[in-house]
Amino acid sequence: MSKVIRTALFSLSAAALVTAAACGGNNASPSSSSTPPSAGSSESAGSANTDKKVTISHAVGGDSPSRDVWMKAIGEAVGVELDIQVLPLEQMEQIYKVKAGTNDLPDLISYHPGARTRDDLQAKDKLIDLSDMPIIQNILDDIKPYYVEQDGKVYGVPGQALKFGGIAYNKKAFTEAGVSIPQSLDELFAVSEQLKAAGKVPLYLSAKDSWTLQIPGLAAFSYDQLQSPGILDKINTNQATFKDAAHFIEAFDTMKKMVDQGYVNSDYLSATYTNGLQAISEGKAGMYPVLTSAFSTILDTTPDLINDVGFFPWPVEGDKTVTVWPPMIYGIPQSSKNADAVKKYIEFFASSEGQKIYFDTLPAAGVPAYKGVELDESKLLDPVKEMIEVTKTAKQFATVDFSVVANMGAFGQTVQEILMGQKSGADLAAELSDILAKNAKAKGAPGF
Amino acid sequence: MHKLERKTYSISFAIPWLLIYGIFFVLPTLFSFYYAFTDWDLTSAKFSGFSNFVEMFNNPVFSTALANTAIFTILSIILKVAVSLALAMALYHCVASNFFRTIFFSPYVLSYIAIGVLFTAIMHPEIGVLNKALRAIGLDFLALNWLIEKGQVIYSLVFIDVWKSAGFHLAIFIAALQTIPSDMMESASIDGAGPWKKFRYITFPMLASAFNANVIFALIVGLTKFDLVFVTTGGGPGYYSEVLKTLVYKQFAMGRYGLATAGELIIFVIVITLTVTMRKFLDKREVEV
Repeated sequence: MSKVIRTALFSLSAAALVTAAACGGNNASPSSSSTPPSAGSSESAGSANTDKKVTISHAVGGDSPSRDVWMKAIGEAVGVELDIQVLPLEQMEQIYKVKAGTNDLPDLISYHPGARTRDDLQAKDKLIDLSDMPIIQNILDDIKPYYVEQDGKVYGVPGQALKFGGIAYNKKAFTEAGVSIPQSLDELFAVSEQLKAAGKVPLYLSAKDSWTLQIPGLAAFSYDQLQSPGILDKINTNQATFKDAAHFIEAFDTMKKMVDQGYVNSDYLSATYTNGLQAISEGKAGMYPVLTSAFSTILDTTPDLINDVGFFPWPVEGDKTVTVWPPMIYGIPQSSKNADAVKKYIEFFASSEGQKIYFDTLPAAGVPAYKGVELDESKLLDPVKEMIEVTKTAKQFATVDFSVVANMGAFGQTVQEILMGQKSGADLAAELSDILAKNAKAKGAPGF
Repeated sequence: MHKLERKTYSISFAIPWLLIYGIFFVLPTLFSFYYAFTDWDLTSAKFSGFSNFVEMFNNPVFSTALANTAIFTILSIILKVAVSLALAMALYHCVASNFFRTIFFSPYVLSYIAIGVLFTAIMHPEIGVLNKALRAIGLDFLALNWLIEKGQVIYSLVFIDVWKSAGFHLAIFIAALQTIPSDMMESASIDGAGPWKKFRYITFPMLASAFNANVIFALIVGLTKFDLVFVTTGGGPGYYSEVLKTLVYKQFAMGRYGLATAGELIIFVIVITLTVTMRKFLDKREVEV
């Protein structure tokens, strides 16, 4: 009897093990992960005209009702359905990295371009080469290096509009205080004084969401690139460090001076990004360092206030530059069974028709990343008009954290320390140089 | 005549779950011993000797995180045990004891994420309910920058953790209190023992096992605290509330998986060492009591 029970229990154990292994696995077999989509998948991908629609899985950071609308509209146009998984914004990168490591990426990837896609998602081994797609020719030349690899392969194409890093300002607050857009750091202080006198918070900072504190330095680094050509290449080969980036350092020291002079909201250490967007759109604050993707959020939450806000780059005297955040990529993992359907989706998104749907639904998205896309000027929102104007007058550089040889990590907490008087911009530059050197060495980057 | 034997369940009943435990916990833990000595990018691991440990110990934030973890752990152990013991004594003979037990236990069923968001709002220096209430009753001097002042933030986090977990420790103490024979208390009363003497010489010694269990629970939770800190302060302002777990998470987020695993291994060794030492000390004290 006991032998029977034992046999039964061992069978149960084996069954449990098999079940557990099945749960822990993923849909992609080793062969499917390294093989281009099969004929079978292309058959299903071509089912736009059949009764059963292909469902494309997609994972994206942060909730956005507008995004869901335009994505589904494009899905309808190409005859696919979208299963959108919304990831917590602050954990999006980690989740994507783990999904890449475990071959569990969704059919349609949305991730940071350039080195981040290449390294974090192990693009060479995990993503499909899209270089045969005709839309590659339409990507704006300035941002093409972030999508086309040196060997000509393409692991992702722009999946959004261009966004910039700089300062959002409230026009009504500026008018009330009688000030105009500052063109230098001295003017930034002068404008702040007048805004303060008008009862406004001159510069809003939201240190609770510490990533927002990184923006001024990243925006100012463009001036280092403009005035010290080649500095980024030198940093990437260990011939220079962030200690050589004078404008990067100055930006953080400027923020500290603004705090010391009472130009920053008193609750800056507990203020959040949402608080900042509310303050700038309602005109309680005059200026707020942001990425221009903030305007889409303002449009989602307070559409009647969107034209009260505008944008200008980090102000440094002389020739102007602006830091671009190249749009997140659309990519396809090798493990996707719906690769052909996803390609059709991407192709349509990048077409004039797809871009029209995108910009009609999300008019504050920014500047088109594809050539030949004509925006209806009569419908342009004020902040977008200013963004377009900036691109005509300022030289564009992509943000340094997408361009460095290895991950330099988040440094918002160190900026908090600067604002609290514990450290200086130079200390931050030294720390970042050290972190970058260690990470580059661990990665085996030449020169480190 | 059947031979008298003790009937026990066969160990084979545990095999399915031991297998799952082995595959999903023991094996990854053992693998981590190897990965801690590599530069690992999830697809390949290059052996790097002790460099991850050297880098972790040389990280200027490591000592801050270690000190914060120590403060958090020690204070939370003392306060959780003291508060829950006091509540247990007060509630044991209380008329509406079940009602109050439910009240005190209820924070424990909330997730740390919800509690973190809740207390971020409550402890906001300007618009938070706590400071508004303090100002309303004239205690302006107590309206502090709870979560953003470098000297206070770690203590605020301890307070939140104690508020959440006291009910759990209370339940353990109350369960132990219910095992104390009532005749022992009655005879002590007849012999003229007052409440303090009854507590000192009967209740407290009889609670020794529960006391030890609570200390060990609080020790492990304190040393491995992550969620509350991550949601409430993210380790800030600056690094004034950084703890070991949040520091390790940041290495993971940077893509330094080998370095993060080395950090986890350091925490693992600290937890095992302190838990075993504390256990031995408490067991010895229990025998003496």
